Amino acid sequence: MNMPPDHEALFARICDGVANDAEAADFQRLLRTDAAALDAWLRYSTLHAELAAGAAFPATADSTPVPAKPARDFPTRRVVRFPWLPQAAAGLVVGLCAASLVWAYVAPPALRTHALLEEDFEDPELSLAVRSALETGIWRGDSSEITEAQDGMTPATGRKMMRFLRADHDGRLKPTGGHIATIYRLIDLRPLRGEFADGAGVVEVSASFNATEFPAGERYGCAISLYALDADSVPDRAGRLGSTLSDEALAMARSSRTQFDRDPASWQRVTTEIRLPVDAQFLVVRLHVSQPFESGDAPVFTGAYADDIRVSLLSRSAAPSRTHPLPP
Amino acid sequence: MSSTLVDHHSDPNADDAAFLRRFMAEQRTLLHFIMRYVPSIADARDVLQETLVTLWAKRAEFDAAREFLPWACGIARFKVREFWRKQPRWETFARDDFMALLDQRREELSPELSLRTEKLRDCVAKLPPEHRATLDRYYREDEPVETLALREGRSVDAIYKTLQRLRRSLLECIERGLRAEGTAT
Repeated sequence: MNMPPDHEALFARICDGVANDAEAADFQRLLRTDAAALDAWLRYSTLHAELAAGAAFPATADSTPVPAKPARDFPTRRVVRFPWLPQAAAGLVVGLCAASLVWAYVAPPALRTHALLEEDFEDPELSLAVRSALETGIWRGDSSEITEAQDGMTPATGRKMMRFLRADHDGRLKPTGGHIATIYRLIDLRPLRGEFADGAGVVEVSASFNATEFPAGERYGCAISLYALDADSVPDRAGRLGSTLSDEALAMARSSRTQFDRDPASWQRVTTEIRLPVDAQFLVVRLHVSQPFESGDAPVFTGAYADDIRVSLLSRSAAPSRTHPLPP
Repeated sequence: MSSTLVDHHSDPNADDAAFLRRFMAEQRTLLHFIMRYVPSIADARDVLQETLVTLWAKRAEFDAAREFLPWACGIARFKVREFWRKQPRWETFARDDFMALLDQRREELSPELSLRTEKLRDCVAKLPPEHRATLDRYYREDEPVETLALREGRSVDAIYKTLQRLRRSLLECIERGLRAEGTAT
């Protein structure tokens, strides 16, 4: 099925209820006169209706995500209102909902998602720190910078992105061959420990990576590593970072290494996940770009970028969805 | 000693509760049915609400021995026509022959559409969590696009484009799944 882009754009505006009079007329004419367009519409609108009816969301993905900002800041509307029902019947509705009967649009999900971090590097007060003791609320790691579009590279989202500069920190080079530039983020899980006390909590992390065009003889890759730690294992100084994270983590996960393509126009999405041990108290998210050892001694990364980093905790709960404050 | 016979079916509260249970169990299906003819979610939900008003008013006429859904869909269909008649710019949709055309072609495509629905569930599950969250907020939480834009710090137009891109991505995923099974259109 190859739908012309203009048809798809028109269908989208119809489905979202934002078509103007001319588009409404075009749409109706199209469906009356073009059999292929009618079929394409039936496929498109069926997908749209399935999503709206909720049945397309699999039970394991059934989630009401916690927003980065508290939901109460935003206006919301509920699906079906009963202003016309007699008071007694309205009471019945409430009672039936409380009895956990099927209530398509406000039913408590089987799985909840908590947004732990949504980083797009847009915050003007955000800064990157060189490697030192880890602390929450700040990215630390090797030399890097927050930048706007440059050298033909535009951010994956918004106006800013993070650029890896060198595989060093504080002017100190790593041993020869250590051509991996990293940034770390420490996340305090303690406010949410109840959410994974059953051992079923999973953290999903995804980030977009990209690189400017680089010589044919060079190769760069990117990956994400995750480390679940207890409080005693959080590194308190730079020198312990590597050894502690590798040796003392309660659990560790790493995405496969993705090799950068040579197209700056396309961001490559890397994802990985880790099941949290019940005694985990902190999570370290480590983003790294690398070049192979045979690429020489220069630990310089002139054009490797990251953006749009998402960290979410998926937890199981029988309780109705509700918002949770984010950990600091 | 005397005994008292209690006719539970005459208890209006019990009847009302039973009626609402049936409606709530079927409202997803009803919304899906309405969206065959009213694609805008907000409009479709308005029609669903109007349908419920009428169903509630007519609940005494409903024979519990009959199937609830066909009766409810009949009323929903009537409400759809009523809705379109109030929307002059959608005059084609208001015509019975156009509804019949949609129904006929949908029936012909029914096996394929069923397959697509099965694939869609897998494809939604494969989406990155943040994209799934956007769909979830828009479709299931009924969050207005303006709210999504505020929440994500983006323009309303950007949110509409994101929704369009996500639907396209799901369509492509479905196509890949069908091709893998040799059932692509």
